[in-house]
Amino acid sequence: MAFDPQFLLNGVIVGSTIALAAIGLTLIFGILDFINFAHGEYLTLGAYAALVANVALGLPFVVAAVVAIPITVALALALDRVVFYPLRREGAGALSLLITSFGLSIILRNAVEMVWSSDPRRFDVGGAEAMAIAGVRITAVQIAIVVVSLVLMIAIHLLLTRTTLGVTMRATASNRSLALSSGVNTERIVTWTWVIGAGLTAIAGVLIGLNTVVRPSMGFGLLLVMFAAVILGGIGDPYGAMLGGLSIGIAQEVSVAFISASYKPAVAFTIMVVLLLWKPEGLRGADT
Amino acid sequence: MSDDGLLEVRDLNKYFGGVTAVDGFDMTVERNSITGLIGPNGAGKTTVFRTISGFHDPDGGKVVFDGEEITGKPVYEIVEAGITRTFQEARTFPEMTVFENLLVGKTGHRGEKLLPTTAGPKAYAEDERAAVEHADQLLGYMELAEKRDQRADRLAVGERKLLEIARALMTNPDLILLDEPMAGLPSDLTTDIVDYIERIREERDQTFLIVEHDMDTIMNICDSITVMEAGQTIASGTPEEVRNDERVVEAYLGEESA
Repeated sequence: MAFDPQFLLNGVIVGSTIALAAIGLTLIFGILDFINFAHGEYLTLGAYAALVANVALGLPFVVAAVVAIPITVALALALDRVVFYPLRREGAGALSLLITSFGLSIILRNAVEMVWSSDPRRFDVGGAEAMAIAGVRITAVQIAIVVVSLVLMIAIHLLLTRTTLGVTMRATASNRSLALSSGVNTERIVTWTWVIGAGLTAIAGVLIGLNTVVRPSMGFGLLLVMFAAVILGGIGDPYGAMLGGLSIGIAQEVSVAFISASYKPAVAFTIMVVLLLWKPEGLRGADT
Repeated sequence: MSDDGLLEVRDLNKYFGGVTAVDGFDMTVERNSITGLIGPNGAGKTTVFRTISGFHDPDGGKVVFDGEEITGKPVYEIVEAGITRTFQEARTFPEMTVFENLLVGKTGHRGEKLLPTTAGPKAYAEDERAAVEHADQLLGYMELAEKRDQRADRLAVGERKLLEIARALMTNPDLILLDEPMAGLPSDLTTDIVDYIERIREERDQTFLIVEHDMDTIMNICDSITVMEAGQTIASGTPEEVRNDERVVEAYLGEESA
């Protein structure tokens, strides 16, 4: 049976957006040691912020996408201040934070549905005509999605390795008390991590909405896939999240060539479980 | 007791639930000295260390550093004021390179400020360049330059101790708290670390406060020793004075017979 490279391409498109969103999730886990169930809603809110700017206010799509970033970041910071920070200060455990974020996720998702209804919506943007390149069909929008994702992943790499902020973020994730003793204001690092994590997730939401549709459940629907990407890559490891996101996206889409598309999530999780049985420390565990 | 020490700890109290860990503890660390803090297990040495460095808020008393009260300030502000600490198990950031481990200790941390209104990109670049230079200079000083780009978890235990001291120096401290710097080291490496501590005191005008169980080392390296038992100061003075103090002898005999 000849394999259609179209599936691989679809996988790269989906995988790169999952990877972006998963980086935010894993960075927050690394710094704060808790799994943020509301992370999917940040993705949804990023998409809706851009949708309002684009469709309701009539701003050009690119401007709307850029506007969505500070809005989502502001929201994530406000929620940290009002919800997570007080819990952290009182020494709440990871489980309390997890359940709280789960509740927050439901509240946010319902709020989005109340305001914008559950109808799927689309961005007002062109570039949806498919071009045929080397035997695969791809739209200008899809090329943009992959390029933007890759550029952002490279930017994150440079931030983490070439700037003291990035080095300090990694240090805080690695050993918080040692970072404190080195003079790092770790609460400020937490703030930066929300800024970067929520910013990337907002962009991921916009890109996913661009590739498919914007709807209230979009972020929550992807949450388990993002978890899979994070776990696959080794929890707290941003490079692992990139690799995990791409792997899962590609695996899901390629599976469509062999079995029904409705089994995509099962494929993602089967791969995750099998890989973890083989390498319990995650995909990148081998180089340690 | 003189009142012009670099570090003055006065009437310090710390409780955990109903348990008194530190009970009116007093100590002075003179400028440019190597001061030891000793006492039987459970005397409260670790709690004193953690309170001075800001990891615990005291329940009473005060800590004055260089004339400024630092009681209960957050850890990073105490580091900024000039006190840094090491940990007994030679903590490093294992998955980062030796050089990156040092960069974490850079002073100022201007890059962390969300809105660097006071400093433009030029000042930021200058700041980063100075940090890199400082880190490389310290790696040379601690003879770790060859290991610069190796991951910290590849270092031998002695090298990790040196890296911790280098990271401490990176914060431009006046006082370095060493928590059992000799723990887990073979005797030849202990001699090495002692040499480094004495050299750093001489050449870089540093003050050290050391908690250590290795009595030979403590007696040999310290100018002054404070002895604590059950959260209180029971003696302080030169190693000679402390060694012959009746209460000290008793405290340690008590531990041995327990």
